[in-house]
Amino acid sequence: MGMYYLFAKNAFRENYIYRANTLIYLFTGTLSLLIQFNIWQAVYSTQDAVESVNLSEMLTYVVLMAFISRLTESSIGFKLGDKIRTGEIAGDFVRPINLKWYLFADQIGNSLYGIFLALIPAGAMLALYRTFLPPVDLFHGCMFGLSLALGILLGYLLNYFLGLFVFWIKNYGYISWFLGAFTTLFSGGAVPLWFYPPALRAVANILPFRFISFEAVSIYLGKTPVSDIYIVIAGQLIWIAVFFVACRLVWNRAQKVVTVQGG
Amino acid sequence: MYYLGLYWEFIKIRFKTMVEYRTETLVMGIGEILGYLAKFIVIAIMVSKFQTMGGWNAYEIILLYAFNLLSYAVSNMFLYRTCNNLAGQIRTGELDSVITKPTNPFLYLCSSGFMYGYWAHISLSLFLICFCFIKLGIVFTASKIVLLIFVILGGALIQGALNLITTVPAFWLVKSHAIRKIPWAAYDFIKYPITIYHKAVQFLLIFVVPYAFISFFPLQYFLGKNDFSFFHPAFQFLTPVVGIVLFFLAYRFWLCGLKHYNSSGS
Repeated sequence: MGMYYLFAKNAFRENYIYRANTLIYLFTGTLSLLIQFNIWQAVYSTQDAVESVNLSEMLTYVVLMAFISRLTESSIGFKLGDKIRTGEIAGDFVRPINLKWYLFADQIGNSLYGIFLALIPAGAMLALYRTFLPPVDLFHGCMFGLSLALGILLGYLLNYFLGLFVFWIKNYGYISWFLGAFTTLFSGGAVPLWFYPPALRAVANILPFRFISFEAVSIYLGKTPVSDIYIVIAGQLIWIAVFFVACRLVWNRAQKVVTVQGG
Repeated sequence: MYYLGLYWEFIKIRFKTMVEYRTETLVMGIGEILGYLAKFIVIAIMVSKFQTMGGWNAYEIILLYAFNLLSYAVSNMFLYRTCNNLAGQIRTGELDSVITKPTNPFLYLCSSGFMYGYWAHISLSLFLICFCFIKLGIVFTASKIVLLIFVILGGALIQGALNLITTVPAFWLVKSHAIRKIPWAAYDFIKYPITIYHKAVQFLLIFVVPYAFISFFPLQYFLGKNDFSFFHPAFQFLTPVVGIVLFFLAYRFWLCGLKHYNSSGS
């Protein structure tokens, strides 16, 4: 456990080196929030609430998503793909650490740095707009925390699972475009699923993407009825179990087909 | 400029690569089309739920984005590698072999680095432009098609110019990669009508980073809108002019950078 903590710490620290990157990150983060605030204000200018969601709730949603996406977005699949493509994976087969947890620890370190950076643009926007709602009550706040933690784990597992397919496909680029398409459309990250037409909502419901971040924020804002919160948590646990087993199966199979290129 | 046929040969070689790797090209292209289509659908879901965004309906908003994507793809076909690889070519001294060739270095880089992968963006955005025009009941006339071509080329020049301008500092600075992300960040603004932003932001998008000319102003004409806020209606026809002027300046700046190029000698 201590070793994985060090991996995370190193990943966090590596970010210090790229100072120009940090500045640009702050700049683009602020612009992106500003754009989102403006578009939601524009669509809400003609009505007070749609699907019983008002503008303050929507802006809170945008800020929360900006934070959460720093935690749930990961380059695990990309890094794994790179290891497989370059043949570096051969070393990982013999190392006495678990590659999956190593990649997760590395990602957590990077994500925490991302959160740290996301604070500044969010602070700027909040100073400008003064609208950020707290969780509806303590219970919802706690359930939000739990659901978010499960969502992050689910996001990592999903990413790792898809990354494993590089053993066969050889290029993570393909996988990442397809994953990106599904995430954009069915995760509720850009536009909350409340606003989706029934048919698309039904498709989103049977896919795992909404459990990564949307459901957590929905709990935070009190949009999920209390009885449904337990169903959401159960759904997250089931998907985590599914991907956990799937990763194991694919990993075992991959070890048989692996061809290490170069060296 | 004497060897236009030569540059065409370079592009033809790139197309041969495309045919050689047809499965990869196809799979990657489908992935990209789905990725962008998802973005379009999400925006359409939002706007149609609220019916209007600053007086623009879902089809009109999609058109804003499709115009952007199309001109972005046309520009990047030639300029993606030219701009993206420059810092590396300077660092490794690879640029030496480019400037010692008896060709125009800029045209050489653009044609030998031609990216066929943008066929996906181009087909998707052309499809969406036709789809939205039909849905909005806009009839294609010869003059509209000609203007559309000029608008897209003008937009491509604007995007290319900004891409080029942010690349040139690489001639002086060792690490300038971060600067290149700035136009990309500003790019998100013009997926939506600029009138929803603060006046200061609108001003920037017209006079500093003139992205508003890529889609917002030309669409005023195609959609028969009159949504100029505090701008002159003549702006709707200025896209090609802005494009040519800006690209000319960017190219001069690039040449100026090239003059300062000292080979790293490795």
